[in-house]
Amino acid sequence: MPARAQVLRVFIAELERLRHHLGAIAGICESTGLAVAASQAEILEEDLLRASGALTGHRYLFGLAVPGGLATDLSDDACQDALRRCQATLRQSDHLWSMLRLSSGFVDRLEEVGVIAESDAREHGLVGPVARASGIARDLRAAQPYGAYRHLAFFPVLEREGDGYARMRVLFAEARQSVGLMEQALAALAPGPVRVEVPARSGAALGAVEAPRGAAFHWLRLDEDGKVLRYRIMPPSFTNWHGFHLAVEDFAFQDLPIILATLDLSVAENDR
Amino acid sequence: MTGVPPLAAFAALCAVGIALALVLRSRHAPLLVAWTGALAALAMVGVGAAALLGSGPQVVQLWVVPAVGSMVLAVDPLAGVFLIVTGVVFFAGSIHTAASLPPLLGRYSGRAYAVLYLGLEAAVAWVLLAGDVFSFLVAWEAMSILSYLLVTFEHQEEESPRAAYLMLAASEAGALAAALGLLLLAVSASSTAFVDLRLAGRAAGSGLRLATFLLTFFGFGVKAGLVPVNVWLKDAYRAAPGPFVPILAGATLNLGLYGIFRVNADLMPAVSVAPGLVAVAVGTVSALVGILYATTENDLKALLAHSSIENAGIVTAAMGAGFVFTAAGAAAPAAIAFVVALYHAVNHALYKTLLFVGAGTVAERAGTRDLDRLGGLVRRMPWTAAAVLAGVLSIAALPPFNGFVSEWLTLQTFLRSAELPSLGVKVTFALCGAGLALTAALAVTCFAKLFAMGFLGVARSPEAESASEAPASSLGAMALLAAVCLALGVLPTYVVPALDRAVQPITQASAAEALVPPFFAGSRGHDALPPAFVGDFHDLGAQVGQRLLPGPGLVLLHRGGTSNPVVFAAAPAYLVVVLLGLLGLVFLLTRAAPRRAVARRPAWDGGIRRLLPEMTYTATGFSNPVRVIFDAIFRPTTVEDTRATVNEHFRTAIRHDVEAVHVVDRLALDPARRTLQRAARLLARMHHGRLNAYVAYALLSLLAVLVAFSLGR
Amino acid sequence: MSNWIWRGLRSGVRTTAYPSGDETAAGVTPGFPRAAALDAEHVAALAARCPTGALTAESGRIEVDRRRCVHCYRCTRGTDAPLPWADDYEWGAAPATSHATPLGSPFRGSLHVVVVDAGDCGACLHEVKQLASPYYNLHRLGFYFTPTPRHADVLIVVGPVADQMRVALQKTYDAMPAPKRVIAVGACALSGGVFGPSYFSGAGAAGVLPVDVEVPGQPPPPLAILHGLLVAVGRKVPASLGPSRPTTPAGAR
Repeated sequence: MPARAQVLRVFIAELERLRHHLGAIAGICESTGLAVAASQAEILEEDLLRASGALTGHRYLFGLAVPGGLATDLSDDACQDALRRCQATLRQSDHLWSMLRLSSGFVDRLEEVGVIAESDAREHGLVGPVARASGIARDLRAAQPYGAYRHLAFFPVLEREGDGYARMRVLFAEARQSVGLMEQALAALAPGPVRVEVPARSGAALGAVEAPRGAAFHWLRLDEDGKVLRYRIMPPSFTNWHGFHLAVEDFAFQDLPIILATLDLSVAENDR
Repeated sequence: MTGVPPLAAFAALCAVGIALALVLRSRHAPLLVAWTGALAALAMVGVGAAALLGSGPQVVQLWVVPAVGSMVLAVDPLAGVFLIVTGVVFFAGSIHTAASLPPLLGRYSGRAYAVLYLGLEAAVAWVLLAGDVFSFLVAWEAMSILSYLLVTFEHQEEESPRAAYLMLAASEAGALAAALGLLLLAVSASSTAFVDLRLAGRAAGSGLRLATFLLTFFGFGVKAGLVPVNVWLKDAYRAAPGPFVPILAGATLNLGLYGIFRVNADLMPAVSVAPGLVAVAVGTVSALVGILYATTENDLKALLAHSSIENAGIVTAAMGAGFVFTAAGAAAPAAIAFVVALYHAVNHALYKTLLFVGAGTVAERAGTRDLDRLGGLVRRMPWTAAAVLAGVLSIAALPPFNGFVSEWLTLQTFLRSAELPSLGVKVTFALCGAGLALTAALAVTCFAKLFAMGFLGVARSPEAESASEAPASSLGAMALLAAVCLALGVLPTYVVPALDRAVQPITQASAAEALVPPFFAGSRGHDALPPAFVGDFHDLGAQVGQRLLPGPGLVLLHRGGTSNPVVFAAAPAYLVVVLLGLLGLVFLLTRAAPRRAVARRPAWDGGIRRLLPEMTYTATGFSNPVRVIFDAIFRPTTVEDTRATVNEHFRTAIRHDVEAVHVVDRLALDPARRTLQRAARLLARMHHGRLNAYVAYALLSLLAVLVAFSLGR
Repeated sequence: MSNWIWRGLRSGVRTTAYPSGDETAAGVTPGFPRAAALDAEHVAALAARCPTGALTAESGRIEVDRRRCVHCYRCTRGTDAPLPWADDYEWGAAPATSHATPLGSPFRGSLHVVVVDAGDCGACLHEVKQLASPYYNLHRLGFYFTPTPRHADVLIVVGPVADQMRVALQKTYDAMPAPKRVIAVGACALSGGVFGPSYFSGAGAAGVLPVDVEVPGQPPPPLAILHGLLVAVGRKVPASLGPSRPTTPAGAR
């Protein structure tokens, strides 16, 4: 894959991560009933959706990544524009975080609620921000660097408590980190092609990326004509759903929606 | 001697019944008990009515026991009240026996049951009619032993012998204490007859008063079910056989209350406020503890047992208020308090019997006593459900049933503490009044749970799903009790004067005068009411019904001074009329409204495939908030044991054990037991087996005697 | 807490002017390819590039069936003759098979919506949720989300209707009181999208329920879903989605 495509893919992936994390933060604020914070986070998320749509044509970045690179080139100016919007969003997000940190009623509902111990997280193989909040410092971008992540400075965010508050801290820290990675990627962007032709070959392959919710694994088998014979997906929430019961045991019934929001589990990823 | 013919009839019926029971086969026992028990109960009611409404107390000489005195029967109005209600309870209970005893005949002897039952009926009547200490104690012992034998009737069950033995031990301890108290009084009176004790009671010194009060209060309190001496109650009620539990709850519990009332209100009226305050405090604590445990209990019989403790506590608290008012010299409030106490005792006996008959029927037909396994019975047992609903509304103190009147009057009595001089007493009354209000609220929760989880909703077990309607005799018993409950709730203005006949000789003040103003023109005393007052209430309709019904009126009203003409008032009879009118109006409106198409659809279940009975609200879940809030009282210890496979994934089973020690055991009885055992262990150090030391003990005691002897000279 | 009030007030009004005005911000809609006339050699090649068969070649013209478009952009990226693009967002349409009239008043200003996720990938559901965000705020129109179908007037279906969700979807629809309307949102709910019909899912909501409004797109932006709701109550005119072809079983494309 050409270098420009790899760097742009990192840029796009981190844009997606930033947008997803702000959506998760909005979900947590909504679950605790802090309506103003939820609205603020939703505003930021929609800002990023519109930035994604303006940059790539689609709010959820569909139709961009193809085998061999990107379907279309993104101009440097457009990327700079998107980065500026993300930086502005990050400033707002930092301000939101500073206010949330000091809202004791809000923090009370997250602190020491929905605790997943590190041993439990390790045993169940949890992934993503949920695992990183429970003391497991595993991020595929650092553990198995792929694409342009090999050349970028990156340290996984780690928290130890494993409660809802730790997971929220991980989300905010990773959002901050994403903007930093986007800046690094843009600085490393060089002109060039964004796509090479990839001949179809029979065989099987496994791909692993750090999706916003955690490690996602895709495995496929092609036949000689390049048609897909088998495709298997292991999405991050599929594993994390198995850890859900660990977080809710011993807590009150009223905490259940909040714990669910802090775990940010996707139903669609369970139905793969 | 108007009380004698029914008395003779009663005694004859019991004797004939016992004789027939010994002669006939076991399988005839249910019908025998039903007929003779019911007829004897009617005779008992006759005796009671004659006693209550007759001209005055009468004394019937029975036998003369050398060196002790003569055994007499005293037929007085107080005994009459209890005789009437006990008679009704036995009547309903006997009819119920016809249906509930046959299932037990396979394993146990019906003959024995019949003999014991009729013997108990006689013993209970004898306790109420006893006119001297000796016959009272003999009757009490007979009643205790017969109750024990009946509780342990299902002796092959695991829990019966233990529970019954505990009951016997507690009963005997209580009887011992009560006997001691009565004997102290008898010694000071140099006679055993109650009439002489009454005279001596007025002249007793404070030491004797205190001793007698404490001994008889806690001694009779065992039978009445007061904290902390009611350890036996829950287990005994659970273990007692189905036909007997209604009697146990409706008749024998009242005997404890009767004993307390007789000694401390009749024989030895209070002159200091201390006994009354003790009674009020113990009553309130019993009520609170009883209803808390009832609310969180899932076993039907245990729930009703705890509720019995609660109601006994309320009666005791009302009695205590009466003692305090008597000591403070406020005769009219004392009369009101005593009438209220008797009213609540009567009401409780009626609706508790009704509920126990219902619970027994449900347990037999639905196969289980666990509220978490019942449900949906209102469709399968509609008449039983209707009768139990009447009982539930009564015990939850909802108008128009009788529980409402007595609980409302109890709380009003406690508010009358404004008429007392001492601040400490007022504060105690205020706190205890608040406690009783809390118990009333918890009682509504508890019995809403009982009816909703037991009868409404979906059947939670296959046995509950296949339950069938109760047999006719049980339904008849329940219907009778429900009707009496309704009558006592709708017509309190007839009940209060009747109870007043028992209370007035004791307090020398008339509660009827204080509570039932004669609004009906033409009734006695109508002209003595101030015309302005009568005019105001005639505008409100207080004279409605005067052509139809005799008596002073249908409004319960306590009058105050000029600045506060009405202290409290209620008119359940008019309330019923208005209620029926409103219901009728709603019915007519729904009929008159244009018909709209009604679409029936299955219940919305969130889209899942099937709604299971386990998904409905359970009794445990309903009472969980109470359990959590009052956790400091319940203090359960939980033990959780989980089973898992493969690295803690995929649980196969979870076992959850909850153990709770009753708060009274934890705070009062266990420490007392531990102290006793510690003391015993200390004393046991004497028994070390060394002969030399034993000889030394003998020498030391000899020396001590010599020293004492010489000093004494 | 006073901080939050100040913070909220300082954010100002972000809500879109739609439906009383037009929304012109960038990134609010992915748009759709537009039907266009092309020369013969490109027409066939372009029609074959579409993975879901949304492009039909007819005598020198490419027609776009919006119901099937899954926004893969293959018709406009990586090809010599890219299709022109339409950046509108008023996509709500009434299918020919539906005979239901729009819900008139009082629903025009007071509508309750129940959303059922019948196996979607999460994008359509996320866009539906965005309707409650400050930018779109459907509450100002009197529209509300309700969790129970008993209170709902409109049922929004997203997803191709996975077989596991058929019963639940049917039960939800049956539990709604009349009058009720069904809005199928997203390419999956209209034609099966990238999933169906297959061994585990159907070809959209039409196979299970009577659909009254169709909102195409993968996913349709919140403005398009809003347009669909307004069509359902009769406040907006339905759009046209292009010629439709019956959905063929998987593998026959």
